[in-house]
Amino acid sequence: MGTIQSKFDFVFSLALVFCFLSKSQAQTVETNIDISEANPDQSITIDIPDGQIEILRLSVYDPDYPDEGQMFINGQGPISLFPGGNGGFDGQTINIDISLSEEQKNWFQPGDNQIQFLWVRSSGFIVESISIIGEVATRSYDAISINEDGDDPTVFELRALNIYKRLAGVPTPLDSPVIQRMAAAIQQDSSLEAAQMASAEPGFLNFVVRDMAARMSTREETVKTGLNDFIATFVGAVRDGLDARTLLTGDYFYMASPVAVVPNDLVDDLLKSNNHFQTLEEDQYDLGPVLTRVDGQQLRTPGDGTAPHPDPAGVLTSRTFMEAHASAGTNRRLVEYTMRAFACTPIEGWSDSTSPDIRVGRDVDRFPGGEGAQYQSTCKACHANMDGLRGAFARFNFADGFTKYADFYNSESGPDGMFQAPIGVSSKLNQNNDVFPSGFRAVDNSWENFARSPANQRLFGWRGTVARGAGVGQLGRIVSESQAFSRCMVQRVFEELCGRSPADFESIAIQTMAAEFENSTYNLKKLFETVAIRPECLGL
Amino acid sequence: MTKKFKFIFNKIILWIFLILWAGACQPIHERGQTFGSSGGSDSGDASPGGNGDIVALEKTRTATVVRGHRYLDALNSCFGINNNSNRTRQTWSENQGTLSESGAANSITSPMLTAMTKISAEVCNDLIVKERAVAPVQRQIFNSINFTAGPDSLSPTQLGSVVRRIARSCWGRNETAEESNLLINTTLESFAGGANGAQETIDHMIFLCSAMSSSFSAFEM
Repeated sequence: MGTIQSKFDFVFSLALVFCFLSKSQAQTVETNIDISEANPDQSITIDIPDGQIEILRLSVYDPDYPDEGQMFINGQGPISLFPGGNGGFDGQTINIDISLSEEQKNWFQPGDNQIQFLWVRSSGFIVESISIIGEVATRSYDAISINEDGDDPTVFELRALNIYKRLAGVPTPLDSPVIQRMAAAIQQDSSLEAAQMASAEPGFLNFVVRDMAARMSTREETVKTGLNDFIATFVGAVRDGLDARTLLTGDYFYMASPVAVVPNDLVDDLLKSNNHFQTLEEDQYDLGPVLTRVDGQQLRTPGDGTAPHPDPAGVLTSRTFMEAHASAGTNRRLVEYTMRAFACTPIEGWSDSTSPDIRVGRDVDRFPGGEGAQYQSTCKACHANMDGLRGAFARFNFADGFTKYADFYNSESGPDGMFQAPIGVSSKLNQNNDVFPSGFRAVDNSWENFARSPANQRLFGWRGTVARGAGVGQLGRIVSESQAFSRCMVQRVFEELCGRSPADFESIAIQTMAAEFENSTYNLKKLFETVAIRPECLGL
Repeated sequence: MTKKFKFIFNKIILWIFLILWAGACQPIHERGQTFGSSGGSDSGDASPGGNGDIVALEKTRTATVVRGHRYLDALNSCFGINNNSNRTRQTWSENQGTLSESGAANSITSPMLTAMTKISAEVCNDLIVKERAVAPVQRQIFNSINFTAGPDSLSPTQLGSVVRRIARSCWGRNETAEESNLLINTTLESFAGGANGAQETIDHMIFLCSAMSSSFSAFEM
């Protein structure tokens, strides 16, 4: 007993220390500052009791230029607004992280701090809120004061609890302040507002969104997949309200801000391994405050150099997705899982034996077992469509622990080489070329979309120019703009929140939600919030 | 696992199923979701461990259980725990693979319940360690418990207070009279005739806390 007692004391001491160290220091202030030529100079005072700041996060409407405004902190500056601003954010509300230098951090002081915004050019912007993030925290849970004499939950509190558990991923006590606020909102007939409170909880990003992304990131399609660049980018994009289509087209990724004590060498810990994200997860960092967007994807080049990615496509060109689907094989898996993950359509669903097979590779036997009928009726159905699109990934291979792009490597073995045949095309696309020598030979990264039969048109709901293209980015564009993408995101969110797949009798509801999702500029966070309060999920 | 913990654990397992049966059927039938064959509507096996398909009912919430990899955080969230002991982390590491990955209501298994009880017992120990270090008025769960006295000092009122607080923390509701009686009587009976030291009081609280925090009402989502 003495041994156990001293063990308890030791653990208790550790617990005290960790409780102190991991105290969350983040505050968000609603500001709604409208800056334009007509209102070019606006200020706000924010109380930062200890004056400590690591990350300044602005929630901004219409941050579409990197130099449309300036910010001053207690009269010191300027800081140009907005880093990463671009036309893709036009008309949207986006979270922008301001990376502060040590000098800029020292501009803040304990107590009141004046933050001034100046208009420089463009039609203006609205700073909707400002988040002051101090020490980047690990996940933490506050003790709650329990109302022991409280009544059984009201119908509003019950609904609040149900919404909370589904959106935050973990339960919380009935008497917790957030449940009481949510119940009050629900009583005022504002369930959406209640859902927004729940989605502001750390568990929303750390568990719910993370799990949805985990299933999409690898072949195993399991929530047990460890944190990786695909998941981090997905979580960050949801947090910041980015257009979900950029998950298949964007030239950015998310990683931990430098304040997180994790391995963060770009080459060793992000491009050549998953060390960065693995440590981030092992140390239980709260993803909400810690993730930061980095504009410009990078690739490893020979000699452990780096270069801007020539063909970025959001998470499709993440290390995780490439590792899962571009390792060995023939790069067909990349096409299969792009459709499976983002159009919710397994290969059997979009196979079509009537599609032209002019791009089916030379490694596919046209007379399996000496009979052509099997090829015509079975093999061709999948290969015609899949091989048609495979060219998008022609320049990629994943080997030696990292993504290789043909233009950066000589055709040779080893970590600094990548076999190509012809030059510019990964040799895996043209291997086994003696099986059917008359088959298609890939010579570049062009692709053709043969999945446009009437049946597949209905299935995918293609929009715009979808017949052909080059590279992953253009493939990502046609998939992201398809109706299937919207429906798929709704379906995945539904499954994540409601604990089941949508039933057939809910197809109209799914279509309605998909239309709303598109109208919200493909805002996944809003999608989560609206699905969570639907009767299909919450009950009546 | 120490001998003392093993004793407590076995007691908990013996009674956990009683509590599960007492608690499980009520929320399932109230909410109208079903287990059982996909051809049925209100038919089928509604008990935990049934292997039938989940039947979607129109505009009805489908019951789920907490996903296995979130279970430790779920317990920490219930009790406001920020740091788990090494023993808790080890127990978690050894048992989380047995928990439901999907959180589907028909994925509950006996090994899963056993694993949840083991994990919750350690988390309850963490909670007791945390709360013993602060004044009773600052405690979320054990504000009525004198951890320096033996279990002979525990009154039904004190135990009732603990039950109520855990119910509102982890179940999202008050306990019923039946549940309260079952839990208090079980706790007292399980340790009847034992020693009357401070450690025994801790054992009583671990038993009560574990039984409640690993019950269906706690992990239903």
